[in-house]
Amino acid sequence: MIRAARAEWTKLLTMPGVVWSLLGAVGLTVGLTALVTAATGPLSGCGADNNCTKDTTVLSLSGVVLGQLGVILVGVLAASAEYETMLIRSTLAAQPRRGLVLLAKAVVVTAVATAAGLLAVVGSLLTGREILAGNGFTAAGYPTLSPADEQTLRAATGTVLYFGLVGLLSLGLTMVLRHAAAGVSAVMAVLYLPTVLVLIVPMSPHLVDLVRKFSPMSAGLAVRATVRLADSAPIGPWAGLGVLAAYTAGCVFCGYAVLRLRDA
Amino acid sequence: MVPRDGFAMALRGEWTKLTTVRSTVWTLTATVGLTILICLLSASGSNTFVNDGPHSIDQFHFVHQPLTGDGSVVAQVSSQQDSNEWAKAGIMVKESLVSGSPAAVLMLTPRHGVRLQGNLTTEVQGSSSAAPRWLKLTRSGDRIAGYESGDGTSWEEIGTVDMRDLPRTAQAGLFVSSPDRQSLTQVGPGSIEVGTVPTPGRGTFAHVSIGGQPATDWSSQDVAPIRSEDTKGGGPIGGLHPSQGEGSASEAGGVFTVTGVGDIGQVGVSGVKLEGDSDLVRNSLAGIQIGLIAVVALSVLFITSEFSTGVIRTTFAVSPLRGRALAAKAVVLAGTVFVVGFVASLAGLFLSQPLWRSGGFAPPAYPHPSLADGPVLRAVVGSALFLTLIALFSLGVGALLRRTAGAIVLIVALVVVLHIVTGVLSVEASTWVNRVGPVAGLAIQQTVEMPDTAIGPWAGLGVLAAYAAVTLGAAFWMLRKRDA
Repeated sequence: MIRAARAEWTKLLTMPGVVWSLLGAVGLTVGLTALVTAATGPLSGCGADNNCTKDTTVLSLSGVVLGQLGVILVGVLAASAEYETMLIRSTLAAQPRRGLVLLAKAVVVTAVATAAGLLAVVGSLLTGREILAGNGFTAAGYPTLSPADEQTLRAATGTVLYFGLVGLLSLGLTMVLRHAAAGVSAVMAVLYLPTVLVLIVPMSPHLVDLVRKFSPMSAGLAVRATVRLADSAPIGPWAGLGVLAAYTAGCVFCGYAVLRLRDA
Repeated sequence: MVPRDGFAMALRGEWTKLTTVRSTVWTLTATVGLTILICLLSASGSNTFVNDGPHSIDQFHFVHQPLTGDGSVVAQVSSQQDSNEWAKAGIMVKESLVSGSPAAVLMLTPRHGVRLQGNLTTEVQGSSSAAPRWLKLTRSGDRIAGYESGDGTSWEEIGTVDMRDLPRTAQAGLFVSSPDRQSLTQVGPGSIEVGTVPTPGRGTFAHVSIGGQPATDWSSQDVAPIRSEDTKGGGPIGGLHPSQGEGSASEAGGVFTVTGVGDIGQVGVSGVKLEGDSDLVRNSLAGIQIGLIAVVALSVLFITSEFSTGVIRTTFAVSPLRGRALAAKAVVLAGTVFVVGFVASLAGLFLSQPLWRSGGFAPPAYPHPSLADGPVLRAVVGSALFLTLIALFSLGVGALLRRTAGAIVLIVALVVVLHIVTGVLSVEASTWVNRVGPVAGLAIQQTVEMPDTAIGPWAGLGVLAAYAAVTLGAAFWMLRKRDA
């Protein structure tokens, strides 16, 4: 197992694009957070009654939605690159236990994605904290973000785990599809399409609620919410991450089944 | 004769490559299919009640006193605030203080000149003057004539209004109204509500006289429709449901200052519009936003698949001028995507219309879209151009990155994800992205100026064209510098 994991580690990090993707995950997360927080004041978009409390933790983690693309790419490439070059045959010749190959890949991808997620989350929270303080989020009700706050710590930890799960989901789905273009399109469809559809297609509030509760991205990102949990997030924080974990498990299982049953 | 070499041959080569690949058929079918599907879905879920509301409005602040028998009302509108292009300040003779009762109205507007209106339904246009302007209404029996003047001595007749039902004693005096402005409020994640805010108009009047006597003993009040309980709260936005607003009037040394909100007229008269709260054509073309994903995949694969299979070396061996090979690819791709995009947007728009109509999106608030209408034609052709530019942008990115997955992710991030992320988060960030991101090109679909309009139609398409030009330019340069 250690050997298999080391082999996967070497293969993954020497692949062109992987390091860039990981850096991209951090950079895009921090960058979008900076853009969004810079454009948000305490009262922006609040309407006439000025009655809206903003969740500074969610705002400071808003870049995740874009930054996760870097992690998606790593998960996809970890699976597709071997099929493109037919390296997979050498891999399977060296390690005939296919389940172990997938397990090793899963461990490496999850570890790398979680590490990138940790950097992204810390960078993003620090950036958001600075910019929001400069935008007037200083009054009562907006304490400075701090890891000492239980809710904030939970949001941060959960978001780091979110990165790991998204990387793993991408790996699993691409192990089924075996092509980079198909894999990346499928992963993005699974994550983004429900959100896009909610925005474009008018639905009844009940249907919108269902979609947001059971689609992997909006449910998984519910872990970021810290204020007014009942209104702002479609589902409880850990339950939401559980929904994403269920999708991830399903994708990895399908990837395992295809790897076992189909010729490489 | 087809030339045996040169650009024509390169074009033919690229055309053959594009049409013989299975993924082309898939992605092009997906473009049209997804576009139509999403257009139909969004049409089927939408409804509006704008057309069910009242079709006329009679609301203003009225400074009045009784006028018995024949006589004149004269006033100089010495100034008018430009609170709205259809703000109204002027004089009127009205049966009673009940909204909707018969009236002859002589009004001055900031940008549409002088107008004489009768019973909310008829209108005669006077000069195109703005304040200051003298106005006069003269009643003789069943007719009321309207006059205007620059100096108060030489009067020009505008027209007459038939007021057969007017009682012998009517209310005469000064009025000010100003239609509501639309406003944008974010009411939840990704949900923006279009509402109305009152924008009070203000006018000052001098030299006011009634029945030949200088005006004395005035009273003033808001004239407004009585709101029925069932339209409160759950009532439609847009249409003719003005805000309640308090007007005011004061007098000092014979100069009256009057403020008021509202509007006077039926739909189509004096600038009264039954306005929908959304851009029907743009909403009907919503599917393009999803269809573009298939276009991105097609365009990226068109170049990256050559790199991953090594065909690119054959391509360059046949056509050693690398710039020409890329140009041929761009031309073939642009032509194909434009035609397919045009079919998709035409079908998406017109196939979804019956569904929109059954949801209440019908005239007069929402006229039937017709290609003879400039903005509609621009939206349909523009949607095809939008997809074409997205294709060229994707081709450029694909040629630069040479990797399918990376290129698709990058483009979808820039075009789709950034758009939805900021759309969910804040109005300001979203406006910013809609102005400078590649999605600015979607502005070409707008046919009505909405409160959330971020950029003009052609300017928006220009932003996307700049993205395509820069990436294709960089791709040309890189192709010549780098080994294939």
